[in-house]
Amino acid sequence: MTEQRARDSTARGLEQADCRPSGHASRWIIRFNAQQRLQHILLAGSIMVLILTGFPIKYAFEPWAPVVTRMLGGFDVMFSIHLVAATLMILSGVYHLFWIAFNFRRLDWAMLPSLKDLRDAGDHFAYLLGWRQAPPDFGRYTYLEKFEYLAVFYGIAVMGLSGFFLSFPEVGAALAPRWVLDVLRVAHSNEALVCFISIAVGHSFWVHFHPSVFPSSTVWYKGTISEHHLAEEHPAEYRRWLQSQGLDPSQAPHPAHEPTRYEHSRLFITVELDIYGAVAVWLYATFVPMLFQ
Amino acid sequence: MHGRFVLFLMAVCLLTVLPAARAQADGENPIAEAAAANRRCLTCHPGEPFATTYQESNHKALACVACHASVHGQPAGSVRAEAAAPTQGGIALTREWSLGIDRTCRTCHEDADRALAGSAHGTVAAGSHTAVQCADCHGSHAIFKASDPRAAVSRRNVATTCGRCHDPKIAEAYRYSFHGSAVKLGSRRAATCVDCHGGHDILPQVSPASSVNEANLPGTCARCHVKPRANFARGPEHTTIHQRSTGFPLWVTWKIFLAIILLDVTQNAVLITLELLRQWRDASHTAAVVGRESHD
Repeated sequence: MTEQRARDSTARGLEQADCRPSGHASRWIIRFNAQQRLQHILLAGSIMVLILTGFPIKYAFEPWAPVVTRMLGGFDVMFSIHLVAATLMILSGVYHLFWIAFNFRRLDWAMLPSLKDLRDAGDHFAYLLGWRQAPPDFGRYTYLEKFEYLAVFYGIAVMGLSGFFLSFPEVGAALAPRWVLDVLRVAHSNEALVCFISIAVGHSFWVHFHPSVFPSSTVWYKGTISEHHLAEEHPAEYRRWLQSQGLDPSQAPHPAHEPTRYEHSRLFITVELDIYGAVAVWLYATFVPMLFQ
Repeated sequence: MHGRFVLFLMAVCLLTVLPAARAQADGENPIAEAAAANRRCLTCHPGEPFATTYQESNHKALACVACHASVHGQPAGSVRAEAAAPTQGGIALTREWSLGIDRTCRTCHEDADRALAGSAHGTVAAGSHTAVQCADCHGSHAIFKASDPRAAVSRRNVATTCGRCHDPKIAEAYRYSFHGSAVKLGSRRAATCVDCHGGHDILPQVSPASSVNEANLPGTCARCHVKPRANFARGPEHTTIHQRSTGFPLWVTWKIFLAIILLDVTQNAVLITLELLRQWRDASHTAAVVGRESHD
């Protein structure tokens, strides 16, 4: 090992920067319990169905919309499925709130934003740009994960409330003039698009298409994260875990890492860069001109 | 011998009875009867688009002369020539001529005529060439029942039909609305133009009896939406997110969401690109190290 590389490795906070195994085999550490996974599956499933049954209405003037509607059994069936899925989505949110309430004292509240997140965000950008060697000292949840979590709260509130009043306009009109319902429809339709972009482009990258987890992270169904991944992506949380195991973080050997098939494949990474680049260009070409319409 | 005789009898029966039965059917089939009567017309008007559409239309059992009673009373030159060169005078002349046919529609469709009499369409300069004629909405030869998707006044086509005379922005706003989208996708319940505005009995919004008059609008909405909320009448209708002047709240909501969409795209594009580039540098570094070590 060259001196330069040894320095790099130390700076990155890792005993072993590369794929050569050292220390013990990577253990599996619980990240999400069964209830959290159930909440996520309920939310993910309902949102996918909602997008599938809602986008044909948003884009009714596109040629594919009547085709999808027919495949889903016609408008009335499709719309009924939409309302059932909406109920499930709202239930997943209610379930989560009840879960928080019942575990109020046991929770570590790690998902709440803090001032450290600002520093982490700065460190992360410096790290991504290559200005900084050590990865940011992320805790149990990164600033991006916390933002996503809060965005889901906001999203369920906006989609759930606007959707409710649009489904029952006679209830909505008891509270507000009709033009407010029209505004809610614009909000419902476009918040759906924001949600779709965040999930289909953003979230799915980190948990499905990132070269180190492709084709899928296992956390959402197994509930466990590998010790190596935890150490690399959530170092502060990893230290906390070591301490909880009665180990000294400064002395503990770094777990071995077997790189995944795509993690170091420059071909895979190049193909992904091309695809994401094309998607970004397409999205900008679609939405930037609308600013001036 | 016996078998042969039976066969012979059957042949005789077939040869005599079948043509008679056919003649009988002809006599009882108004469509075939009309077709026979129209054969003469079509010797001079063969292969015309109207000839084919008419034979499929709801009027297929009528003879041409049922509507075109006075085939000699056509204006100078043919209608087609006027349509090909639609000068103001030509259109007036053509419409003046078709008023006669319009009156014929109303002799059979009396109920529609009565409903139309006091309506917005019925009082537009009645009797002159600017009057709204039946054919303007229903078509002339391609007339179908409103329940037939081919009809100009069917649920799916009626907005386009109204939009031929009325501000196209209204039809466009309707197409983007939930009602319009649902109808486009085949909903049998969502409202079309006529569900709110009425059909033959349509009245201008300012008329106190109009279904879309501000005082009556809550009740009109409540036909589908349960309760006649006064709020149903409050707000501009038939406006889109693109019409800043008429629908400012919609326009501004859309622009806010457009900004959120672009921020969302930018955040993800920047982070994903940088992360993939970092991963690429890592992979290159690993490859270089592995390469160097294999030489050691």
